[in-house]
Amino acid sequence: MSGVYWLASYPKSGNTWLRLMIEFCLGDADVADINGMDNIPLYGAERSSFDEYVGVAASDLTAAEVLAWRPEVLRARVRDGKAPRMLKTHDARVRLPGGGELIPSDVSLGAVYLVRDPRDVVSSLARHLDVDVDQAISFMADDRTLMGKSYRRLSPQLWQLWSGWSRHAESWLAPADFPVLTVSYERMRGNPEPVLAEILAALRIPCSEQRIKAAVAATTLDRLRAQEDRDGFRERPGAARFFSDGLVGGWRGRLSTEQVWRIETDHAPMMRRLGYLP
Amino acid sequence: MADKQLMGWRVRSAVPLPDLLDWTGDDRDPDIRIRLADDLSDGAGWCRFSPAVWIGPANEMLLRIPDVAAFLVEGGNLVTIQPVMPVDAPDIRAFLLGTVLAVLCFNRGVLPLHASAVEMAGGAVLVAGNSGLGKSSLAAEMHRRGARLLSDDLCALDFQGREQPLVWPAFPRMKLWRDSAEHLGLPTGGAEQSRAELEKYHIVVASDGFRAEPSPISLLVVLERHFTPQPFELVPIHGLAAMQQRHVVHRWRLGEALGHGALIFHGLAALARSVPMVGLRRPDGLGHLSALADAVTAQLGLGRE
Repeated sequence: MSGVYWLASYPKSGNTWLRLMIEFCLGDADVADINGMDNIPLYGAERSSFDEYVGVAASDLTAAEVLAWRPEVLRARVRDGKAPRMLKTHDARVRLPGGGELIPSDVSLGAVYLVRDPRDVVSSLARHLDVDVDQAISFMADDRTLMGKSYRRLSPQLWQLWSGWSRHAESWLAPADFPVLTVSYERMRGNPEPVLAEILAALRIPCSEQRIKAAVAATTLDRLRAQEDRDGFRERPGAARFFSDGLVGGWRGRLSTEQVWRIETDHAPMMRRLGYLP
Repeated sequence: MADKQLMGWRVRSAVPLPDLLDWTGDDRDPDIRIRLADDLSDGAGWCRFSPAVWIGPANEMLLRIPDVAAFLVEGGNLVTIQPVMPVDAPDIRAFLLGTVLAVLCFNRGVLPLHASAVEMAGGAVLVAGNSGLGKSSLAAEMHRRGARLLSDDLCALDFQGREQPLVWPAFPRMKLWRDSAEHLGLPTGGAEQSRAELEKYHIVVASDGFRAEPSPISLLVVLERHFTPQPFELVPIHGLAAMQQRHVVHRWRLGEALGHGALIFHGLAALARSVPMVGLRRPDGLGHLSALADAVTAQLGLGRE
Protein backbone atom coordinates (compact mmCIF):
# COMPACT_ATOMS: atom_id res chain seq x y z
CA MET A 1 0.00 0.00 0.00
CA SER A 2 1.25 3.48 -0.77
CA GLY A 3 0.61 6.43 1.47
CA VAL A 4 2.14 8.92 3.84
CA TYR A 5 3.51 9.02 7.38
CA TRP A 6 2.26 11.88 9.52
CA LEU A 7 4.11 14.13 11.93
CA ALA A 8 1.08 15.44 13.75
CA SER A 9 0.75 17.92 16.56
CA TYR A 10 -1.20 20.88 17.79
CA PRO A 11 0.77 24.00 16.71
CA LYS A 12 3.78 25.02 18.82
CA SER A 13 4.37 21.58 20.25
CA GLY A 14 7.85 20.89 18.94
CA ASN A 15 6.92 19.70 15.44
CA THR A 16 9.49 21.93 13.74
CA TRP A 17 12.30 20.76 16.00
CA LEU A 18 11.37 17.13 15.39
CA ARG A 19 11.17 17.79 11.66
CA LEU A 20 14.66 19.35 11.70
CA MET A 21 16.09 16.29 13.44
CA ILE A 22 14.42 13.93 10.98
CA GLU A 23 15.57 15.99 7.99
CA PHE A 24 19.10 15.87 9.45
CA CYS A 25 18.90 12.07 9.73
CA LEU A 26 17.68 11.77 6.13
CA GLY A 27 20.61 13.79 4.79
CA ASP A 28 24.35 13.75 5.23
CA ALA A 29 25.11 17.41 6.01
CA ASP A 30 26.94 18.42 9.18
CA VAL A 31 24.58 21.24 10.05
CA ALA A 32 20.79 21.43 10.27
CA ASP A 33 19.37 24.04 7.88
CA ILE A 34 16.12 25.61 9.09
CA ASN A 35 15.48 26.84 5.55
CA GLY A 36 16.21 23.53 3.90
CA MET A 37 13.39 21.35 5.22
CA ASP A 38 11.91 20.08 1.99
CA ASN A 39 11.17 16.43 2.74
CA ILE A 40 8.31 16.95 5.18
CA PRO A 41 5.95 19.63 3.85
CA LEU A 42 2.82 20.77 5.62
CA TYR A 43 -0.49 19.07 4.81
CA GLY A 44 -2.33 22.23 3.76
CA ALA A 45 0.55 23.87 1.92
CA GLU A 46 -0.56 22.23 -1.35
CA ARG A 47 -2.60 25.19 -2.66
CA SER A 48 -1.48 24.89 -6.28
CA SER A 49 -1.91 21.10 -6.31
CA PHE A 50 -5.38 21.57 -4.87
CA ASP A 51 -6.37 24.05 -7.60
CA GLU A 52 -5.12 21.75 -10.36
CA TYR A 53 -6.42 18.46 -8.95
CA VAL A 54 -9.87 19.80 -8.09
CA GLY A 55 -10.10 22.04 -11.14
CA VAL A 56 -11.34 24.95 -9.03
CA ALA A 57 -9.34 27.67 -7.27
CA ALA A 58 -9.34 27.07 -3.52
CA SER A 59 -9.29 30.85 -3.15
CA ASP A 60 -12.90 30.87 -4.41
CA LEU A 61 -14.01 28.21 -1.93
CA THR A 62 -15.24 28.42 1.63
CA ALA A 63 -13.29 26.80 4.47
CA ALA A 64 -15.82 23.93 4.62
CA GLU A 65 -15.46 23.24 0.88
CA VAL A 66 -11.67 23.30 1.06
CA LEU A 67 -11.57 20.99 4.10
CA ALA A 68 -13.98 18.54 2.45
CA TRP A 69 -11.82 18.23 -0.67
CA ARG A 70 -8.28 18.31 0.74
CA PRO A 71 -8.30 14.57 1.57
CA GLU A 72 -9.36 13.78 -2.00
CA VAL A 73 -6.45 15.80 -3.34
CA LEU A 74 -4.08 13.88 -1.08
CA ARG A 75 -5.50 10.56 -2.31
CA ALA A 76 -5.06 11.65 -5.92
CA ARG A 77 -1.48 12.76 -5.29
CA VAL A 78 -0.67 9.46 -3.58
CA ARG A 79 -2.21 7.58 -6.52
CA ASP A 80 -0.09 9.62 -8.96
CA GLY A 81 3.06 9.11 -6.91
CA LYS A 82 3.19 12.88 -6.36
CA ALA A 83 2.72 12.89 -2.59
CA PRO A 84 5.70 13.19 -0.24
CA ARG A 85 6.52 10.23 2.00
CA MET A 86 5.95 12.30 5.12
CA LEU A 87 3.62 15.17 5.91
CA LYS A 88 3.56 17.51 8.85
CA THR A 89 0.07 18.38 10.02
CA HIS A 90 -1.69 20.51 12.60
CA ASP A 91 -5.11 19.23 11.56
CA ALA A 92 -7.26 17.36 14.04
CA ARG A 93 -7.97 13.76 12.97
CA VAL A 94 -11.72 14.25 12.77
CA ARG A 95 -14.60 13.39 10.48
CA LEU A 96 -15.93 16.28 8.44
CA PRO A 97 -19.62 17.18 8.18
CA GLY A 98 -19.95 15.08 5.00
CA GLY A 99 -18.60 12.04 6.90
CA GLY A 100 -15.16 11.90 5.30
CA GLU A 101 -11.92 11.78 7.27
CA LEU A 102 -9.74 14.88 7.18
CA ILE A 103 -6.72 12.60 7.67
CA PRO A 104 -7.63 9.81 5.24
CA SER A 105 -6.86 6.41 6.80
CA ASP A 106 -6.73 4.66 3.43
CA VAL A 107 -3.53 6.53 2.49
CA SER A 108 -2.00 6.72 5.97
CA LEU A 109 0.87 4.36 6.81
CA GLY A 110 1.60 5.63 10.28
CA ALA A 111 1.91 8.68 12.48
CA VAL A 112 3.84 10.27 15.27
CA TYR A 113 1.67 12.46 17.50
CA LEU A 114 3.54 15.06 19.54
CA VAL A 115 1.83 16.57 22.57
CA ARG A 116 2.99 19.40 24.80
CA ASP A 117 1.71 20.92 28.03
CA PRO A 118 -0.97 23.41 26.89
CA ARG A 119 0.29 25.91 29.46
CA ASP A 120 3.59 25.99 27.58
CA VAL A 121 1.90 25.94 24.16
CA VAL A 122 -0.10 29.06 24.85
CA SER A 123 2.61 31.74 25.09
CA SER A 124 4.28 30.39 22.01
CA LEU A 125 0.94 30.28 20.18
CA ALA A 126 0.17 33.87 21.17
CA ARG A 127 3.49 35.01 19.69
CA HIS A 128 2.95 32.87 16.58
CA LEU A 129 -0.51 34.32 15.92
CA ASP A 130 0.41 37.81 17.09
CA VAL A 131 -2.42 37.87 19.65
CA ASP A 132 -2.37 38.24 23.43
CA VAL A 133 -2.23 35.23 25.73
CA ASP A 134 -5.90 35.50 26.70
CA GLN A 135 -6.96 35.32 23.05
CA ALA A 136 -4.64 32.36 22.51
CA ILE A 137 -6.30 30.61 25.46
CA SER A 138 -9.67 31.19 23.80
CA PHE A 139 -8.42 29.78 20.47
CA MET A 140 -7.20 26.68 22.29
CA ALA A 141 -10.59 26.16 23.91
CA ASP A 142 -12.60 26.50 20.68
CA ASP A 143 -13.21 23.30 18.71
CA ARG A 144 -14.18 25.36 15.67
CA THR A 145 -10.75 26.98 15.41
CA LEU A 146 -9.60 26.57 11.82
CA MET A 147 -6.23 28.20 12.04
CA GLY A 148 -5.14 31.52 13.38
CA LYS A 149 -5.47 33.21 10.00
CA SER A 150 -8.23 35.58 8.99
CA TYR A 151 -10.43 35.77 5.95
CA ARG A 152 -8.95 39.19 5.10
CA ARG A 153 -6.13 37.92 2.99
CA LEU A 154 -5.24 34.85 1.02
CA SER A 155 -2.93 32.69 3.09
CA PRO A 156 -0.37 30.71 1.12
CA GLN A 157 -1.74 27.73 3.04
CA LEU A 158 -5.12 26.08 2.61
CA TRP A 159 -7.64 26.05 5.44
CA GLN A 160 -6.71 23.66 8.22
CA LEU A 161 -8.80 22.51 11.16
CA TRP A 162 -6.80 22.88 14.36
CA SER A 163 -9.85 22.50 16.54
CA GLY A 164 -9.34 23.08 20.28
CA TRP A 165 -6.31 21.68 22.12
CA SER A 166 -8.25 18.93 23.95
CA ARG A 167 -10.27 17.94 20.90
CA HIS A 168 -7.07 17.81 18.85
CA ALA A 169 -5.38 15.47 21.32
CA GLU A 170 -8.52 13.37 21.68
CA SER A 171 -8.80 12.95 17.91
CA TRP A 172 -5.23 11.73 17.54
CA LEU A 173 -5.30 9.49 20.62
CA ALA A 174 -8.47 7.75 19.44
CA PRO A 175 -8.09 4.25 17.94
CA ALA A 176 -6.85 4.50 14.35
CA ASP A 177 -6.58 2.21 11.34
CA PHE A 178 -2.85 2.91 11.24
CA PRO A 179 -0.21 2.94 14.00
CA VAL A 180 0.08 6.21 15.91
CA LEU A 181 3.03 6.73 18.25
CA THR A 182 2.27 9.38 20.86
CA VAL A 183 5.29 11.26 22.18
CA SER A 184 5.37 14.16 24.58
CA TYR A 185 7.50 17.20 23.89
CA GLU A 186 8.64 17.07 27.50
CA ARG A 187 10.00 13.53 27.12
CA MET A 188 11.68 14.43 23.83
CA ARG A 189 13.33 17.50 25.43
CA GLY A 190 14.38 15.50 28.44
CA ASN A 191 15.91 12.61 26.60
CA PRO A 192 16.06 13.40 22.89
CA GLU A 193 18.29 10.63 21.55
CA PRO A 194 16.30 7.52 22.54
CA VAL A 195 13.01 9.29 21.80
CA LEU A 196 14.20 10.26 18.32
CA ALA A 197 15.33 6.68 17.74
CA GLU A 198 11.87 5.46 18.71
CA ILE A 199 10.22 7.96 16.35
CA LEU A 200 12.51 7.09 13.44
CA ALA A 201 11.67 3.42 13.92
CA ALA A 202 7.95 4.22 13.82
CA LEU A 203 8.51 6.15 10.58
CA ARG A 204 10.61 3.29 9.12
CA ILE A 205 13.64 5.54 8.68
CA PRO A 206 16.92 3.69 9.18
CA CYS A 207 19.54 5.81 10.95
CA SER A 208 22.73 5.11 12.88
CA GLU A 209 23.06 5.89 16.59
CA GLN A 210 25.90 8.25 15.75
CA ARG A 211 23.79 10.18 13.28
CA ILE A 212 20.94 10.45 15.80
CA LYS A 213 23.38 11.91 18.32
CA ALA A 214 24.58 14.39 15.72
CA ALA A 215 20.98 15.34 14.85
CA VAL A 216 20.29 16.28 18.46
CA ALA A 217 23.54 18.22 18.73
CA ALA A 218 22.90 20.10 15.49
CA THR A 219 19.42 21.25 16.52
CA THR A 220 19.95 22.79 19.93
CA LEU A 221 17.79 25.87 20.38
CA ASP A 222 20.91 28.05 20.58
CA ARG A 223 21.94 26.91 17.13
CA LEU A 224 18.47 27.28 15.65
CA ARG A 225 18.06 30.76 17.12
CA ALA A 226 21.48 31.80 15.83
CA GLN A 227 20.57 30.63 12.33
CA GLU A 228 17.21 32.38 12.47
CA ASP A 229 18.89 35.63 13.55
CA ARG A 230 21.41 35.35 10.75
CA ASP A 231 19.32 34.09 7.81
CA GLY A 232 15.69 34.43 8.85
CA PHE A 233 13.24 31.52 8.77
CA ARG A 234 11.09 31.03 5.70
CA GLU A 235 8.26 29.41 7.66
CA ARG A 236 7.98 32.20 10.19
CA PRO A 237 4.52 33.70 9.89
CA GLY A 238 5.09 37.15 11.34
CA ALA A 239 7.62 39.49 12.81
CA ALA A 240 8.21 37.60 16.06
CA ARG A 241 11.11 35.19 16.28
CA PHE A 242 10.03 31.58 15.66
CA PHE A 243 12.50 29.67 17.80
CA SER A 244 11.97 30.67 21.40
CA ASP A 245 13.41 29.19 24.59
CA GLY A 246 11.46 25.91 24.24
CA LEU A 247 11.46 25.53 28.00
CA VAL A 248 9.59 22.77 29.72
CA GLY A 249 7.49 24.37 32.45
CA GLY A 250 8.35 27.89 31.28
CA TRP A 251 4.71 28.86 31.85
CA ARG A 252 5.35 29.17 35.60
CA GLY A 253 7.05 32.52 35.18
CA ARG A 254 4.89 33.70 32.28
CA LEU A 255 1.22 33.12 32.91
CA SER A 256 -0.97 34.82 35.49
CA THR A 257 -2.78 32.67 38.04
CA GLU A 258 -6.02 33.37 36.22
CA GLN A 259 -4.60 32.32 32.87
CA VAL A 260 -3.30 29.07 34.35
CA TRP A 261 -6.70 28.49 35.94
CA ARG A 262 -8.48 29.05 32.61
CA ILE A 263 -6.29 26.55 30.74
CA GLU A 264 -6.51 23.93 33.48
CA THR A 265 -10.28 24.33 33.59
CA ASP A 266 -10.70 24.18 29.80
CA HIS A 267 -8.54 21.10 29.40
CA ALA A 268 -8.61 19.28 32.75
CA PRO A 269 -9.63 15.79 31.53
CA MET A 270 -7.12 15.68 28.68
CA MET A 271 -4.35 17.21 30.80
CA ARG A 272 -4.95 14.50 33.41
CA ARG A 273 -4.99 11.81 30.75
CA LEU A 274 -1.63 13.00 29.44
CA GLY A 275 -0.12 13.46 32.89
CA TYR A 276 0.00 17.27 32.87
CA LEU A 277 -2.30 17.42 35.91
CA PRO A 278 -2.39 15.04 38.85
CA MET B 1 -30.77 41.39 -20.68
CA ALA B 2 -28.34 42.96 -23.15
CA ASP B 3 -25.72 40.69 -24.68
CA LYS B 4 -22.25 41.00 -23.20
CA GLN B 5 -18.72 40.87 -24.54
CA LEU B 6 -16.04 38.58 -23.23
CA MET B 7 -12.71 37.98 -24.94
CA GLY B 8 -14.17 39.20 -28.20
CA TRP B 9 -17.13 36.85 -28.00
CA ARG B 10 -20.78 37.80 -27.95
CA VAL B 11 -22.35 36.27 -24.83
CA ARG B 12 -26.09 35.85 -24.25
CA SER B 13 -26.73 34.88 -20.64
CA ALA B 14 -29.71 33.99 -18.48
CA VAL B 15 -27.50 34.76 -15.48
CA PRO B 16 -26.78 38.45 -14.91
CA LEU B 17 -23.16 39.29 -15.71
CA PRO B 18 -22.72 42.84 -14.39
CA ASP B 19 -18.92 42.54 -14.51
CA LEU B 20 -18.90 42.29 -18.31
CA LEU B 21 -19.18 45.14 -20.82
CA ASP B 22 -22.22 45.25 -23.09
CA TRP B 23 -21.79 43.87 -26.59
CA THR B 24 -21.10 46.69 -29.04
CA GLY B 25 -19.93 44.62 -32.01
CA ASP B 26 -21.71 43.38 -35.12
CA ASP B 27 -25.09 41.69 -35.20
CA ARG B 28 -23.73 38.16 -35.28
CA ASP B 29 -25.43 35.31 -33.43
CA PRO B 30 -24.15 34.88 -29.89
CA ASP B 31 -20.86 32.99 -29.72
CA ILE B 32 -21.72 31.67 -26.26
CA ARG B 33 -25.13 31.01 -24.71
CA ILE B 34 -25.59 30.61 -20.96
CA ARG B 35 -28.94 29.12 -20.00
CA LEU B 36 -30.63 27.76 -16.90
CA ALA B 37 -31.92 24.25 -16.22
CA ASP B 38 -33.08 22.36 -13.18
CA ASP B 39 -32.02 18.81 -13.95
CA LEU B 40 -28.27 18.70 -14.55
CA SER B 41 -26.62 15.39 -13.82
CA ASP B 42 -23.87 13.16 -15.04
CA GLY B 43 -24.83 9.87 -16.64
CA ALA B 44 -23.43 6.64 -17.98
CA GLY B 45 -19.96 6.90 -19.42
CA TRP B 46 -19.01 9.95 -17.35
CA CYS B 47 -15.79 9.93 -15.42
CA ARG B 48 -15.04 11.68 -12.18
CA PHE B 49 -12.13 14.08 -12.54
CA SER B 50 -12.30 15.41 -8.98
CA PRO B 51 -14.83 15.81 -6.15
CA ALA B 52 -16.16 18.84 -8.07
CA VAL B 53 -15.73 17.92 -11.74
CA TRP B 54 -17.07 15.17 -14.00
CA ILE B 55 -16.14 14.66 -17.66
CA GLY B 56 -18.65 13.27 -20.16
CA PRO B 57 -18.19 10.94 -23.13
CA ALA B 58 -18.04 13.88 -25.57
CA ASN B 59 -15.74 15.87 -23.25
CA GLU B 60 -18.60 17.74 -21.65
CA MET B 61 -17.60 19.16 -18.30
CA LEU B 62 -19.88 19.19 -15.28
CA LEU B 63 -18.76 21.32 -12.34
CA ARG B 64 -20.73 20.98 -9.14
CA ILE B 65 -20.24 23.28 -6.15
CA PRO B 66 -22.91 21.83 -3.84
CA ASP B 67 -24.13 24.99 -2.11
CA VAL B 68 -23.75 27.26 -5.14
CA ALA B 69 -24.66 25.73 -8.53
CA ALA B 70 -23.89 23.05 -11.09
CA PHE B 71 -22.42 24.10 -14.43
CA LEU B 72 -22.38 22.06 -17.63
CA VAL B 73 -20.11 23.10 -20.49
CA GLU B 74 -20.80 21.51 -23.88
CA GLY B 75 -18.36 22.47 -26.61
CA GLY B 76 -17.38 26.08 -26.97
CA ASN B 77 -20.84 27.59 -27.28
CA LEU B 78 -23.11 26.37 -24.54
CA VAL B 79 -23.16 26.58 -20.76
CA THR B 80 -26.09 25.31 -18.72
CA ILE B 81 -26.42 26.29 -15.07
CA GLN B 82 -28.53 24.72 -12.36
CA PRO B 83 -28.41 27.30 -9.61
CA VAL B 84 -28.72 26.48 -5.93
CA MET B 85 -28.22 30.10 -4.90
CA PRO B 86 -30.20 32.95 -6.49
CA VAL B 87 -29.06 33.48 -10.11
CA ASP B 88 -27.61 36.91 -9.33
CA ALA B 89 -25.43 35.64 -6.45
CA PRO B 90 -21.78 36.63 -6.99
CA ASP B 91 -20.83 33.11 -5.88
CA ILE B 92 -22.20 31.72 -9.17
CA ARG B 93 -20.04 34.14 -11.17
CA ALA B 94 -16.94 33.16 -9.15
CA PHE B 95 -17.05 29.75 -10.85
CA LEU B 96 -18.65 30.82 -14.14
CA LEU B 97 -15.88 33.36 -14.76
CA GLY B 98 -13.23 31.01 -13.37
CA THR B 99 -13.19 27.29 -14.18
CA VAL B 100 -16.14 27.46 -16.62
CA LEU B 101 -14.59 30.31 -18.61
CA ALA B 102 -11.25 28.47 -18.73
CA VAL B 103 -12.98 25.38 -20.17
CA LEU B 104 -14.81 27.54 -22.74
CA CYS B 105 -11.45 28.97 -23.80
CA PHE B 106 -9.96 25.49 -24.21
CA ASN B 107 -13.00 24.35 -26.19
CA ARG B 108 -12.82 27.43 -28.45
CA GLY B 109 -9.15 26.83 -29.27
CA VAL B 110 -7.57 29.64 -27.25
CA LEU B 111 -5.35 29.03 -24.26
CA PRO B 112 -6.66 30.30 -20.91
CA LEU B 113 -3.79 31.88 -19.01
CA HIS B 114 -3.74 32.10 -15.25
CA ALA B 115 -2.58 35.69 -15.40
CA SER B 116 -3.56 39.22 -14.63
CA ALA B 117 -2.65 41.69 -17.37
CA VAL B 118 -2.15 45.41 -17.81
CA GLU B 119 -1.26 47.49 -20.85
CA MET B 120 2.28 48.87 -20.80
CA ALA B 121 4.83 49.77 -23.44
CA GLY B 122 2.28 49.30 -26.20
CA GLY B 123 1.52 45.73 -25.25
CA ALA B 124 0.22 43.52 -22.50
CA VAL B 125 2.30 42.77 -19.44
CA LEU B 126 1.07 39.45 -18.07
CA VAL B 127 1.55 38.55 -14.42
CA ALA B 128 1.16 34.81 -14.03
CA GLY B 129 1.71 32.33 -11.22
CA ASN B 130 -0.11 30.17 -8.74
CA SER B 131 -2.82 31.52 -6.45
CA GLY B 132 -1.60 33.42 -3.46
CA LEU B 133 1.54 34.84 -5.04
CA GLY B 134 0.10 38.29 -5.68
CA LYS B 135 -0.86 38.41 -9.37
CA SER B 136 -3.89 40.59 -8.75
CA SER B 137 -2.10 42.84 -6.27
CA LEU B 138 0.83 43.50 -8.60
CA ALA B 139 -1.45 44.14 -11.58
CA ALA B 140 -3.60 46.41 -9.41
CA GLU B 141 -0.51 48.37 -8.36
CA MET B 142 0.48 48.87 -12.01
CA HIS B 143 -3.10 49.83 -12.81
CA ARG B 144 -3.02 52.32 -9.93
CA ARG B 145 0.01 53.89 -11.60
CA GLY B 146 -1.98 54.46 -14.77
CA ALA B 147 -1.73 51.26 -16.83
CA ARG B 148 -5.02 50.10 -18.32
CA LEU B 149 -6.26 46.72 -17.05
CA LEU B 150 -6.80 43.86 -19.49
CA SER B 151 -7.64 41.10 -17.08
CA ASP B 152 -7.54 39.95 -13.51
CA ASP B 153 -6.67 36.28 -13.05
CA LEU B 154 -7.68 34.93 -16.46
CA CYS B 155 -7.00 36.05 -20.03
CA ALA B 156 -6.88 34.14 -23.30
CA LEU B 157 -3.91 33.49 -25.57
CA ASP B 158 -4.90 33.52 -29.23
CA PHE B 159 -1.98 31.98 -31.09
CA GLN B 160 -3.27 29.54 -33.71
CA GLY B 161 -2.47 30.70 -37.23
CA ARG B 162 -0.70 33.84 -35.96
CA GLU B 163 2.92 34.85 -36.21
CA GLN B 164 2.62 36.89 -33.01
CA PRO B 165 0.20 35.66 -30.34
CA LEU B 166 -2.41 38.07 -28.99
CA VAL B 167 -3.96 38.18 -25.57
CA TRP B 168 -7.72 38.78 -25.25
CA PRO B 169 -8.87 40.86 -22.31
CA ALA B 170 -11.52 39.64 -19.89
CA PHE B 171 -13.66 42.26 -18.12
CA PRO B 172 -13.14 45.51 -16.20
CA ARG B 173 -13.09 44.14 -12.69
CA MET B 174 -10.47 43.16 -10.14
CA LYS B 175 -10.86 40.70 -7.29
CA LEU B 176 -8.84 41.76 -4.27
CA TRP B 177 -8.61 40.52 -0.70
CA ARG B 178 -9.30 43.18 1.89
CA ASP B 179 -5.64 43.45 2.94
CA SER B 180 -4.53 44.06 -0.67
CA ALA B 181 -7.29 46.56 -1.38
CA GLU B 182 -6.45 48.50 1.78
CA HIS B 183 -2.75 48.40 0.96
CA LEU B 184 -3.54 49.88 -2.47
CA GLY B 185 -5.85 52.50 -0.99
CA LEU B 186 -8.94 51.06 -2.71
CA PRO B 187 -12.16 51.35 -0.72
CA THR B 188 -14.06 48.10 -0.20
CA GLY B 189 -17.08 49.67 1.50
CA GLY B 190 -20.14 48.72 -0.54
CA ALA B 191 -18.08 46.52 -2.87
CA GLU B 192 -19.55 43.12 -3.71
CA GLN B 193 -17.93 40.12 -2.00
CA SER B 194 -17.00 37.23 -4.23
CA ARG B 195 -18.29 34.70 -1.66
CA ALA B 196 -20.24 35.80 1.41
CA GLU B 197 -17.74 34.11 3.75
CA LEU B 198 -14.63 35.55 2.10
CA GLU B 199 -13.34 39.10 2.38
CA LYS B 200 -12.48 39.10 -1.29
CA TYR B 201 -13.99 42.09 -3.05
CA HIS B 202 -15.01 42.95 -6.59
CA ILE B 203 -13.44 46.27 -7.51
CA VAL B 204 -14.97 47.73 -10.66
CA VAL B 205 -12.56 49.38 -13.09
CA ALA B 206 -13.74 52.52 -14.93
CA SER B 207 -14.15 52.17 -18.69
CA ASP B 208 -11.18 54.46 -19.45
CA GLY B 209 -9.03 52.29 -17.20
CA PHE B 210 -9.74 49.13 -19.19
CA ARG B 211 -8.49 47.98 -22.56
CA ALA B 212 -11.15 45.92 -24.32
CA GLU B 213 -9.18 45.20 -27.51
CA PRO B 214 -6.74 42.29 -27.93
CA SER B 215 -3.11 43.09 -27.57
CA PRO B 216 0.34 41.70 -28.36
CA ILE B 217 2.35 40.66 -25.31
CA SER B 218 5.36 42.68 -24.27
CA LEU B 219 6.35 40.66 -21.19
CA LEU B 220 5.27 37.61 -19.24
CA VAL B 221 6.18 37.77 -15.55
CA VAL B 222 5.94 34.46 -13.70
CA LEU B 223 5.65 34.93 -9.94
CA GLU B 224 7.38 32.33 -7.80
CA ARG B 225 7.48 31.99 -4.04
CA HIS B 226 11.02 32.23 -2.84
CA PHE B 227 12.64 32.85 0.48
CA THR B 228 15.69 35.07 0.30
CA PRO B 229 17.00 37.84 2.47
CA GLN B 230 16.56 40.10 -0.60
CA PRO B 231 13.10 41.52 -1.27
CA PHE B 232 12.91 39.83 -4.67
CA GLU B 233 14.89 38.46 -7.58
CA LEU B 234 14.30 38.64 -11.36
CA VAL B 235 15.47 35.67 -13.42
CA PRO B 236 15.04 35.41 -17.21
CA ILE B 237 13.27 32.24 -18.40
CA HIS B 238 14.35 30.82 -21.75
CA GLY B 239 13.94 27.81 -24.01
CA LEU B 240 13.00 24.55 -22.36
CA ALA B 241 12.37 26.24 -19.00
CA ALA B 242 9.84 28.49 -20.76
CA MET B 243 8.11 25.42 -22.24
CA GLN B 244 7.82 23.97 -18.74
CA GLN B 245 5.77 26.86 -17.33
CA ARG B 246 2.62 24.76 -17.52
CA HIS B 247 1.20 26.46 -14.45
CA VAL B 248 0.73 29.71 -16.41
CA VAL B 249 -2.16 27.85 -18.07
CA HIS B 250 -5.42 28.24 -16.16
CA ARG B 251 -6.45 24.76 -14.91
CA TRP B 252 -3.96 22.94 -17.17
CA ARG B 253 -4.64 19.57 -15.59
CA LEU B 254 -8.36 19.84 -16.32
CA GLY B 255 -7.50 21.06 -19.84
CA GLU B 256 -5.41 17.96 -20.42
CA ALA B 257 -8.19 15.71 -19.10
CA LEU B 258 -10.57 17.37 -21.55
CA GLY B 259 -8.26 16.45 -24.43
CA HIS B 260 -6.50 19.80 -24.90
CA GLY B 261 -2.94 18.61 -24.28
CA ALA B 262 -1.85 19.62 -27.80
CA LEU B 263 -3.37 23.09 -27.44
CA ILE B 264 -1.47 23.55 -24.16
CA PHE B 265 1.77 22.33 -25.70
CA HIS B 266 1.52 24.53 -28.80
CA GLY B 267 0.39 27.54 -26.76
CA LEU B 268 3.37 27.24 -24.43
CA ALA B 269 5.63 26.84 -27.46
CA ALA B 270 4.18 30.03 -28.97
CA LEU B 271 4.82 31.87 -25.71
CA ALA B 272 8.35 30.49 -25.39
CA ARG B 273 9.11 31.47 -29.00
CA SER B 274 7.73 34.97 -29.12
CA VAL B 275 7.29 36.45 -25.64
CA PRO B 276 10.04 37.62 -23.27
CA MET B 277 9.57 35.75 -20.02
CA VAL B 278 10.96 36.52 -16.61
CA GLY B 279 10.59 34.78 -13.26
CA LEU B 280 9.95 37.08 -10.32
CA ARG B 281 10.88 35.34 -7.09
CA ARG B 282 9.43 36.95 -4.03
CA PRO B 283 8.47 36.15 -0.47
CA ASP B 284 4.86 36.15 0.71
CA GLY B 285 3.14 39.32 1.73
CA LEU B 286 2.30 42.73 0.39
CA GLY B 287 5.61 44.34 1.23
CA HIS B 288 7.66 45.64 -1.68
CA LEU B 289 4.65 45.82 -4.03
CA SER B 290 5.79 49.20 -5.26
CA ALA B 291 9.38 47.99 -5.74
CA LEU B 292 8.09 44.96 -7.64
CA ALA B 293 6.14 47.24 -9.99
CA ASP B 294 9.29 49.35 -10.47
CA ALA B 295 11.27 46.22 -11.32
CA VAL B 296 8.73 45.11 -13.91
CA THR B 297 8.69 48.59 -15.45
CA ALA B 298 12.49 48.61 -15.60
CA GLN B 299 12.45 45.19 -17.20
CA LEU B 300 10.19 46.56 -19.94
CA GLY B 301 12.57 49.44 -20.55
CA LEU B 302 15.36 46.95 -21.16
CA GLY B 303 13.13 44.84 -23.36
CA ARG B 304 12.39 47.78 -25.63
CA GLU B 305 15.94 48.70 -26.69
